[in-house]
Amino acid sequence: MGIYEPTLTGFDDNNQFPVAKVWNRNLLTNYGIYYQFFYNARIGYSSYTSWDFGEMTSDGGSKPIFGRSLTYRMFPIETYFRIKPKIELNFTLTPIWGRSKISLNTRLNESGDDWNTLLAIYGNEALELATTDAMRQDWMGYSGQIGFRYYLKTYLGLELKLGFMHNYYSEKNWRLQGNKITGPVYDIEKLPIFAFKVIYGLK
Amino acid sequence: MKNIQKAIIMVLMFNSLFGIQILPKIKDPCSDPIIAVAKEKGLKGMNMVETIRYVRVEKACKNLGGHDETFYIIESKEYQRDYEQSRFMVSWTSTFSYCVGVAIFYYFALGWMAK
Repeated sequence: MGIYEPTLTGFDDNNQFPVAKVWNRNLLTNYGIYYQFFYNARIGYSSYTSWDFGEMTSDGGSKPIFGRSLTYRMFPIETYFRIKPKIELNFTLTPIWGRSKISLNTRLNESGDDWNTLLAIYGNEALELATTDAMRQDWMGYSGQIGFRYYLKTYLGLELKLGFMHNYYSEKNWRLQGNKITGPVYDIEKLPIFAFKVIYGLK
Repeated sequence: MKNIQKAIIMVLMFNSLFGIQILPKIKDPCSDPIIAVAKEKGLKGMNMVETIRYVRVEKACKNLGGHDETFYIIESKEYQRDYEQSRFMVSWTSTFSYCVGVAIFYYFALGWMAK
């Protein structure tokens, strides 16, 4: 679990999106896998994701279900040492391959008639159908983190991490069905990040 | 609220029922073969199923008033081995750590100065 504080102007500057809360702005879900490849050094993959979803409140639209994710995918190199048998300090540098995805689950209008025609052939009544599509954007960045790990068992530990992220995000060049479009403005260039992790080790 | 209470009771009931079926009581836990496996492989060397078995055996043996030292020795040996292997940084790893430390210091120090 991570905590950070981005400014998502693209959502905050209008009232069409779900209300900003701590869980959909500041919390990051995290998972990762590491391999010790050298004495005191690990390499791995770690992913932090911020989620948001709810009903869009746009007037006149079909009030579609809205989903937004911001994923910071990291490929860290981590060095570490133990200051006590149960206490470890670790140091992480990682490139970031970030991706944001915005999806809408919209209700079909006239095009839904095609489905209803087909369904009627088999004796079904008309249904209210929906369709989902998503716009995406990728960017690069880097991050540095320092971690403090306490081992509860030799194979189980708790870790606190503190560091920063630097993201080269641009609202231009989002992609939607092969088209290049402009997306929301995110202020995520320089961000401090805190994380709490539960670690399980195998040999 | 009542639905949530019902759901919690149902989950607890199923958990207890499945618990009885999946996790039968360990007979003679203090001489269970998993202790020998832990001594041979180490705790990190065991897979998830073996680890769960070991934790249950340890708890059951301690509840019966068995030897705490056996489990203490297994664990402390592994802690000590890990500690000896990683108490000093080797080769480039210390340089890497300095770089991370400097990067973070400059990030926060410059950020603070910029404000």
